[in-house]
Amino acid sequence: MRPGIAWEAGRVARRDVLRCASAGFPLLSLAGLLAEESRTETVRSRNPLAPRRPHHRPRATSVIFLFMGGGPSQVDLFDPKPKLAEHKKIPIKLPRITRDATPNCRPSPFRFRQHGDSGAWFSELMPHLAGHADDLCVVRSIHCDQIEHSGAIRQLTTGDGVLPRPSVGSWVLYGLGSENDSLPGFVSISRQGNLAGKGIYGSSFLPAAFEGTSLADAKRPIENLAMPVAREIQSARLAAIRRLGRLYRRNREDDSRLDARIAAYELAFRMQTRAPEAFDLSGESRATQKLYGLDGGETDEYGRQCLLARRLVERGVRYVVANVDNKWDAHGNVREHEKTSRQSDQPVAALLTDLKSRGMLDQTLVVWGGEFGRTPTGQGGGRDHHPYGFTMWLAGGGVRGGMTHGATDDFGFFAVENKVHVHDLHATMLHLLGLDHEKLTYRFSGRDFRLTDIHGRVVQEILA
Amino acid sequence: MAVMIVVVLSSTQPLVSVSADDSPATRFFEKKIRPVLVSRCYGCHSAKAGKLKGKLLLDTRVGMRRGGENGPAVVPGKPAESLLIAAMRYESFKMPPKGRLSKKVIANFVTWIERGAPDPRQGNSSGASPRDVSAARNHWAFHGPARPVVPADLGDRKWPRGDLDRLVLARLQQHGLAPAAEAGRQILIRRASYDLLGLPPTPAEIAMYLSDRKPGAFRRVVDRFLASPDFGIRWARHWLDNVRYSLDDPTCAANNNGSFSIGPYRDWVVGALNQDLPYDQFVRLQVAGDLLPVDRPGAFAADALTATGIWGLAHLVEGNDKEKILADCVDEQLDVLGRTFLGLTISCARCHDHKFDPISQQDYYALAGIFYSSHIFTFRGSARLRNRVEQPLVQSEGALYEWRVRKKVLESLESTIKTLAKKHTSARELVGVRRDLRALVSQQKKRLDGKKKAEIDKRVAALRKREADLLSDQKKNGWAVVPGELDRWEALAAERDRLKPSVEAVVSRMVMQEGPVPGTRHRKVGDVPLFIRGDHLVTGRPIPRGIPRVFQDGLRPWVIGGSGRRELALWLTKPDNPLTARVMANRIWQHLFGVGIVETPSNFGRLGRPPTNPEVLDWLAIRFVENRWSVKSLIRYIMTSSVYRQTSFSTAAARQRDPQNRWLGRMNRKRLDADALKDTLLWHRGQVKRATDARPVGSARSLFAAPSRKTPDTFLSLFDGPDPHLVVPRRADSTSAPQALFMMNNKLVLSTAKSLATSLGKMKESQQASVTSLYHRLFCRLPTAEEHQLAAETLRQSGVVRRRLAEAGSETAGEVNGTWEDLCMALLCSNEFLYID
Repeated sequence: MRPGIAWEAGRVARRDVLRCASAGFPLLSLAGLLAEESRTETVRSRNPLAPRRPHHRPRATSVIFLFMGGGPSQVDLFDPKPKLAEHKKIPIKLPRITRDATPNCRPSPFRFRQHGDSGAWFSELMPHLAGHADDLCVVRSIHCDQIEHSGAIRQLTTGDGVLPRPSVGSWVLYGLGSENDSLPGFVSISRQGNLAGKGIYGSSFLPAAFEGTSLADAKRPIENLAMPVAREIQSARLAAIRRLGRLYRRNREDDSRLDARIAAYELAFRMQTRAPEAFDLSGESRATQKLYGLDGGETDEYGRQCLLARRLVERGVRYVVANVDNKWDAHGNVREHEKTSRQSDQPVAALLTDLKSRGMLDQTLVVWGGEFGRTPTGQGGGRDHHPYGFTMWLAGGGVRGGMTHGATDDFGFFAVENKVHVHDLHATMLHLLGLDHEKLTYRFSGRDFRLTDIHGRVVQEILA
Repeated sequence: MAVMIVVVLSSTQPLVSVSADDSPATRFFEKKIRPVLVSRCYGCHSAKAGKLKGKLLLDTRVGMRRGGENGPAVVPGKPAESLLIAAMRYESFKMPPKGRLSKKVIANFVTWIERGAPDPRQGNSSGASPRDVSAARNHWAFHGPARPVVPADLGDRKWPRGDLDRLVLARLQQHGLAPAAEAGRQILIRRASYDLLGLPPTPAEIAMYLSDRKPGAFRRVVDRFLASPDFGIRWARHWLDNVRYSLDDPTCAANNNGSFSIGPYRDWVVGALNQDLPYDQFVRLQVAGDLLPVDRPGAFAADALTATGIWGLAHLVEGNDKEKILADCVDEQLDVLGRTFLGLTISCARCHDHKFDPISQQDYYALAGIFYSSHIFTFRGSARLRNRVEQPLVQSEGALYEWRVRKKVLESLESTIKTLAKKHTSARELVGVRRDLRALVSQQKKRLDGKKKAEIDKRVAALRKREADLLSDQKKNGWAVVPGELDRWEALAAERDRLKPSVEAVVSRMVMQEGPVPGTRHRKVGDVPLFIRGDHLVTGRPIPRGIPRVFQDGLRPWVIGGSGRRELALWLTKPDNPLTARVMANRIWQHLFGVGIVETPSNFGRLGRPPTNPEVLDWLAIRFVENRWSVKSLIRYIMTSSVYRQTSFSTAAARQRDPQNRWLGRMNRKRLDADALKDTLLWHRGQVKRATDARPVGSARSLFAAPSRKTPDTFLSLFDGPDPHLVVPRRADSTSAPQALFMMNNKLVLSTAKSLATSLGKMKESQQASVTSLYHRLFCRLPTAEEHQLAAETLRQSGVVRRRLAEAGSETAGEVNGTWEDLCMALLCSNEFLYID
């Protein structure tokens, strides 16, 4: 059950109206204004998106989640396994870990080299990212419980692989509120087909206010944003709405929803002017556009997503997902990764460079990863889904750069050292944002729910 | 000696008084048994254990014999039934987990149990103590409704129209409050129309009500609306919110959703509400429609079968594990059973006893066994291929037989035609080409104008070419034209075309069936084991099917024939069930007042809110049952009361005393919900019309178009519409900028404004009359002088802006109805349009 926001909202005193205008975007930037109030549902329901005080001092204020949909292959990108080549021809007893029979070890066709002072390993597919070796914390021991895309995406983006649950971004917005008064607090760019439904951005049982705004792609911003008539006419309509609102309010002064709705129209009108600017990449310098690879070529699409992500975070958006649409799902041929890398490597590296040069990387947590990795064994000419040990990396926002954490076994079948479950990743992300994953709860259907359910451990070892 | 002991002690009656003595039995325990328990078991299974595992205490005699989650650890005299032994042998659990006990030690334990497990240890077994069910029964919701004493003299003889009003008035007076004035007729009819139909009243209905000066005028309005088929459409949506209603289910992707036919269930709900099917029957049909007796032999309770489609709405989750998919499906079914029918969060007890309500994990699996013994889907071999169980919707066994025969005939026709096609397609074409040629050539001989002649010549040439191609193909592949076969083909095709519509006209729908899901480990109707900590891979002892213990009177055991759904349905609808009637009466109240007497309509447990007016709720529930569970009758009774007719205006004093309107001293103002908003916009565009049939076909109302799990509907989530993945007992009421963006910029609203403006333009009335017409249509009332003035001012200002833009070269600014569109937009975006007083 969604809580009756309005039932409480309807009874708030008029002076609170400015605080309670919005459920999609807050009316004003009110950092601290509500911070002293207790974290009760009643207060929450006035303006669900008002900035909230975190549980502890945060290391990051926003997150860019570079979602590598489809499942990038750890053994072809970050986690070299020379043993696979040694055993290419020698039959070994393979663990039965995939859905299909697992025939033979498949060595990576790509060369690996160490980079940076930290000596982190990158394959030749990631030449740009390798330049950031000392900014990254590469976690080679991620694992999850789901072997199919939809389940694994749900687990990565909501914590639960099975049932509809709020997305990570929605939990973050619920925990921290939004700092921006004319943009949504949580934006998800591009969709993962229909694989995960609303999972990536849905609020599920959290109030709808915490739902992410889903953009079909970086070029098409928020729905219903375009004015159907000239600005002057729209403005005249708004004036009339305002006048009608004043008249209707007579004798209904106690109902703050009425003023809140008029205020929402004012805000909507403002957004029509400001939001398009945030989504307009043409204002960026030639150099920046070039950096991200906005040249109409292979890098263009993901470059736009990454650049838009930076612009949104810069404007106070709390959580941004930039989505590589299932392109890593290389069942047929390992070399499909060459193309996906070409499309995403430069934009991702550009994002890190750009955030760093603007001094934003310290407060922005960048997380790179897919719903699972790929098998070290072959499947046709490619590799199958592999949730038992794969690689993700984090950068900025209070994470230790230049380190590699965890390890898989000699063949890359299982995470064996310093294992990090997706629940642990979530706990760590919340921790960096100043939230305690055990305290961030929401009561639904008779019990308190958490992003991490009954699991999750903050991976202290990777914190700066 | 040993033989002696066995003879003496092997009675199943435990020896209670062997403690504190030095009998051989005790010595055996102290020497061989206790040390092992202390060193190898107490770490996890004693009162002093840091974290008690499996709720099993082995440090007292009582604890050992009562056992933990899985049943008794020790059954005196019966080592084979003692879980302790099985665990030590690593047969069920592997205990102790760190290493097996030696065979000799295990043999000692066997001997000890064979001898009756004499155990001198005292003490209670706190960890495994059963919950105190009788104490839990004290919670208000577990007591049946009590008929309240209706106060006779309240000093106000005029206001109360009935006992409901008296009860409310007494409460108001108790808090020093007085009821608000009665709302005006324009407000009342708009309120009633939206509450009952989800649409505004027609101008004719308003006029009729305003001119009806006889007593009982409002009652007649309510009766008219209750009789409208749109009532069922509106109230079906309320019900469907509670059952995860969705048009589709993408988790059946392998079947391309072919087997998710939920439309007939939805239409049945609409029809049941329109016919005022008694609510107890409404419940029984959904829970066990397939198991209830039919009117006459051979007849199908077609509706009853359709009603069981409710259980098909549970998700079938992704994955390769059939048992997990099944466990999750049953969990969602129990969730709906608990929350929607009983107002209890039963599914909390899947993994552990309910923390707050007297629902134990055993109770959960007692109910789960009922649903495990029924099925509405099957696996087609693999876990990833599932079919929902479907049946054609026909009224009798005869009709079903006939339909099956027709279908069979149709299939055989199709297959024969296919065989013929394989052999004779070219021949058939050749015959056709020649026939067409003959007809065209005979036309060529007639006198024709040049254009037509050229066209015919062209077609003849094309056909000749095709003929030549076919002939050369015939030469090459050697097929023959067999006229008999071709005639047969024609005849069969004609027969097929005749038969096909009658077969396809019969729709199928999901139905629940007796018996567990085929292809799972559950082979027959029966009890299921408890899943330890909800893990379907770790099962405990079987739990006899039945209702939660808190509802049992403890005397009569449950007699079950079949799955138990029939018995469950009957128990749910027993007049003395403390919850069923109350929960529904509260829902009805919520839909009329915006908030229930219990604010958490699907949680009447300890974590829900207690009723604000318990005596009103009890009184309504009792009346509901006494009036044969008639939903319409209860709605009519509430709506014609004085409480319902109050205005939503409040005085400062009343607001101060009762800011949340808990004591009902006024009406709550309600926002149009997503469905009502969309339907109203379509209504003003002339797309949605009043339904005329009790089971409307082809209606444009949003009930029939949404929601979908596959394609999320942004409109619905924007205006707090139903989420087809969740049980939504109460819609949220949010106010957001994206909603404002939608209202100002979305085509749906813009085109509504346009069509309103166009229709005004056509009427060619004075400005004053046009404004009056708008107010009448949108707000069901006449504008005041001030509002006339405001409209005029809006039109004037908008005219100025548009003229200026037109002069500056804008093409669209000078549109004929432009200024009226601006006014219509403002009115559609206004609060008065979106809120119901």
